[in-house]
Amino acid sequence: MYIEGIANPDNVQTVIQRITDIEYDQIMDSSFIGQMISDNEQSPFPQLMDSERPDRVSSALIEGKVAIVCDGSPHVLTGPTTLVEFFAAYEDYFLTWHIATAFRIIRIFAVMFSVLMTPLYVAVLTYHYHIVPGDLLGTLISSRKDIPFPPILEVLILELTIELLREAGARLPTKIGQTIGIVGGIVIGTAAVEAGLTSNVLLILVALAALASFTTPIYRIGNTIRLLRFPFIILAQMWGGLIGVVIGVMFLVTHLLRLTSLGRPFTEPLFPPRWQDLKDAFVRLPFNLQGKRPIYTSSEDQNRINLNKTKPKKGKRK
Amino acid sequence: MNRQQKPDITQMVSPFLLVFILHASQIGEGILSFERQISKVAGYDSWISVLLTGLATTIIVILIWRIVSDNNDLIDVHSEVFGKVIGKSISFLFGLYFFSVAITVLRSYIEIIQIWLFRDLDVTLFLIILYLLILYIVLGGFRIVVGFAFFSVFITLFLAIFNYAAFSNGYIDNLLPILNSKWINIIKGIEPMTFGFLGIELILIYAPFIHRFKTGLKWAVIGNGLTTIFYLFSTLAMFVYYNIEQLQKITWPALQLWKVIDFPFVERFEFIGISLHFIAIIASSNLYFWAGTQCLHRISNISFKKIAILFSLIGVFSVFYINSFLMIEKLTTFISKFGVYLLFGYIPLLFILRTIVQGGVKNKHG
Amino acid sequence: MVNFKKLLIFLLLLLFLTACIKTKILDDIELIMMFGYDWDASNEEYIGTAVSPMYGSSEESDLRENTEYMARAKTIQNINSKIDTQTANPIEIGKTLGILFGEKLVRHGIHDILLAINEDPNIGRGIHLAIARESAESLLKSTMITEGTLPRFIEKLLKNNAKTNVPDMNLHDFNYRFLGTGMDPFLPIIEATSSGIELNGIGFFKKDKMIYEIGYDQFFEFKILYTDCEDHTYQFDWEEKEQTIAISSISSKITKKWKNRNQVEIIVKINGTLTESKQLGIRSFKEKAKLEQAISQKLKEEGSKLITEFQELEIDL
Repeated sequence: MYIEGIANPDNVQTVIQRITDIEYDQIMDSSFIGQMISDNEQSPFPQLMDSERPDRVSSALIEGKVAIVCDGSPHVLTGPTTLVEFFAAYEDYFLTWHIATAFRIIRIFAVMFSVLMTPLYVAVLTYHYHIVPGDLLGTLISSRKDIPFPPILEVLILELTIELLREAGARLPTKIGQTIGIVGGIVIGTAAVEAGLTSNVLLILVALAALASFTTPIYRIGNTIRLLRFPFIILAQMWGGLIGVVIGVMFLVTHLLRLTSLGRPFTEPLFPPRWQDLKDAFVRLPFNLQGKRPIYTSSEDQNRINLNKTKPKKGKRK
Repeated sequence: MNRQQKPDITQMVSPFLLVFILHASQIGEGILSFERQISKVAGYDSWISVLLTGLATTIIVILIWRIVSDNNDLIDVHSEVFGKVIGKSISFLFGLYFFSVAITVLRSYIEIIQIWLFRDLDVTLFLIILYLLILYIVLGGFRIVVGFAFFSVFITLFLAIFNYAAFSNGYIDNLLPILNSKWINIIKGIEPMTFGFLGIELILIYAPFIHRFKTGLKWAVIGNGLTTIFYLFSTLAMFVYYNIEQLQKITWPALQLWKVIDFPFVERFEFIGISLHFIAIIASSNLYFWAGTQCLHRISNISFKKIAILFSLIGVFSVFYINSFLMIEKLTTFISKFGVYLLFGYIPLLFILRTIVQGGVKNKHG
Repeated sequence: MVNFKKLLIFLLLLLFLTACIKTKILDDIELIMMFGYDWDASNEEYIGTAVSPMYGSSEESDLRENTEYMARAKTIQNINSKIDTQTANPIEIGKTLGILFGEKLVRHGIHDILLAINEDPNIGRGIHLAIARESAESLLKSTMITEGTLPRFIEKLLKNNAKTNVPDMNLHDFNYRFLGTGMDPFLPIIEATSSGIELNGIGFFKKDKMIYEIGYDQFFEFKILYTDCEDHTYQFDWEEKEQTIAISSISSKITKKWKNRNQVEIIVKINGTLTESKQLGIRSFKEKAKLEQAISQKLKEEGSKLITEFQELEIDL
């Protein structure tokens, strides 16, 4: 689905072309299509926006994107999309722009925190005792004094526990699921600390990191973020602490730079830098500054405010 | 003539990004240690040398814009000026030079990591993973290389902020009186300083990858200016913080300075600084690596990928040859000498030769 | 599928290529908090004392306990490895808070030790240096009840006094003055008394040897001549009236005027609050001017006395 006169015909052509090329006997859900037509199937990052909210999809259409609706599926794919768009909740547009901007920045900070916090813990405790402030040193050492595992194992155990809780909660009916989350979180956490299996400092960090990873508005990228930290933890252990984490970050940045969404760069508006599009990326500026459609959709009609043109027709295609 | 066909449009970048490309290729390991070398020559006044070098390199940048025009690069210019065979062999030398810079930059930074962080680092294995990273970036094409450089610039700018510590604990009187040393010494200081500005010569290779290359001159000059300001700030900070005698004894003044930076949540900032600066090193090494590969790819028609893989293997095996601090020091001095002659000798020469040849061609037609 | 294979190989490489680096897990190392060095003249050896805190399972309870290790050797590195033979975990010197030099050592010269310290990238530059009266060993081994551990106490003592009584002097400043031309370093002197540890002098170096020291009475004159100070107290004996008054919250500012190549005039402007001066009863501007006159006269005398002393000993400041 797209809006003629706004959507770039190239994008439409790409989508149609790729969908026609699909050969598979069963398409249960739009996410099947999403995986099959994405530019790089090996990437853990979703390259098409996936939403079940009509408001999100309609606004994507108006921005000049193409939407893919699948029969029998509540999810609609829209593209081309960018990385920062995954961290924008649609509620941002319902709030005044200062508050929305603050929330977006908090969300992006949360993502970084979630990916990097536990690897940094491993890095610092395993290699870089130098950078621990003197006053914190006592706390850290005494909390780790009786723990038999090296930091890497300690972190992996706790991270896996959190993943287990999440997975168990997701499989059970909602009511029990919530209970499992709370009971498991509190009981297992405290018990692990009391038993001397993990340090309480780490417990706080892991819990915060898990919490932070749930702030992403799109579920699919939340999964990616949660799993991303495992390679980072391993790199931090194997590649020399901070250097390892930095190498990991470099690989990640390169990977993101190489990704495309329907042939458009995925990291836009950061790179290639488009100052125009920053208006709705990390910050959400007020509506009177949002007069243009995003550049990366290369929309045929760049202006959102234009009274002279006839109303564009809606075309529906699968 | 073997004219280059226009590169893939998706790999081209806008001229505005020249600021970042230039800055990223210029900032390497040198930023951590150049103060020692320039202050050896010109004392407290060597910040004037930094300014002068910035000025001189700007002239070279303008010359480069005269040498390569729309859609041709160094290889075209070489074959135009020297003929096919000699031109190609000179281009080949250039390619080798770019590779050796890429290898040296990386290797000398690993030396820092070895000294400061991990005495027992296994360099070979470490290099393997780094060259994997470089291959991953370089094979993505010029756009990815530039993207990486773009992000690295923010890292270096972020790190530069932390030199503020010098001004809060330092002795501003050190800089006074101005012009205490002789002019000749200040001018001599340009030579060691030029090492920090190397990276300009890469424009000769990536020129065809810039949209509307001709309009890029102002961005390149701004990029060079940014580097000058960057170095100037760093020099002033170090001179305020250290005295000359001390600077001579310290190999990496900036790292020593970061040692005193403490925050409530982090002490000993140099460990974070070294790790983050690694991004800048990879970015600059990447650009050289890409340029070397592109250079050889253009003269030999072997696929870009094969050359890149071959040279990353050479890079990994170079560890057996470059295995001591002295060797690295020697290589760095050699490359910096070579770079100076290249920048201030060869490029003006090429410009003159090209003007003569073009004039000759015109006369023939006329 | 080719792509998939490549990815797999790549991931495996990532997993199996380890840098083989020795780990330094925080709780499996012996963190040395403070070093003390002494000189044994008869054997021409350094005596190194290292203090590391014993962390208990809770922060408050056992933190006061320290363990001290001692070793003698001709080089600093050797001292460290000798200490290593006495500890359960490998020693790490990255979080050293300060280094003390024994009195004998500073009279002998600390050039070699300084070189060794500066060489080691593990050691910070903001650490505090001080001279220990008599020997560093006995000071570090003294068992007195202090706030926090002994090294932390000494560090805080030095840091606190660097703000008020003596000019700031950390490893970087020491190097700066040690290596720079026309400058000589100085260090605070601390001494273990029956009740605790006190800072009771400043030792002045010529090159790397201590040759002169001043006591608490001269701290103020030295500090205002050396640097701008912010919060200082001065006790002034007004001989004419046979009274002692205190001036507190002094802030001073130095301006230097070069008279000619070999002569410099140091002008110090001092601002302060008179306290404990009730019995003096200053009521008029005249009396105030008189007092100011007297104070500046006194400070001038003492300052120039200090300066002549330095000039005679050829200590540059």
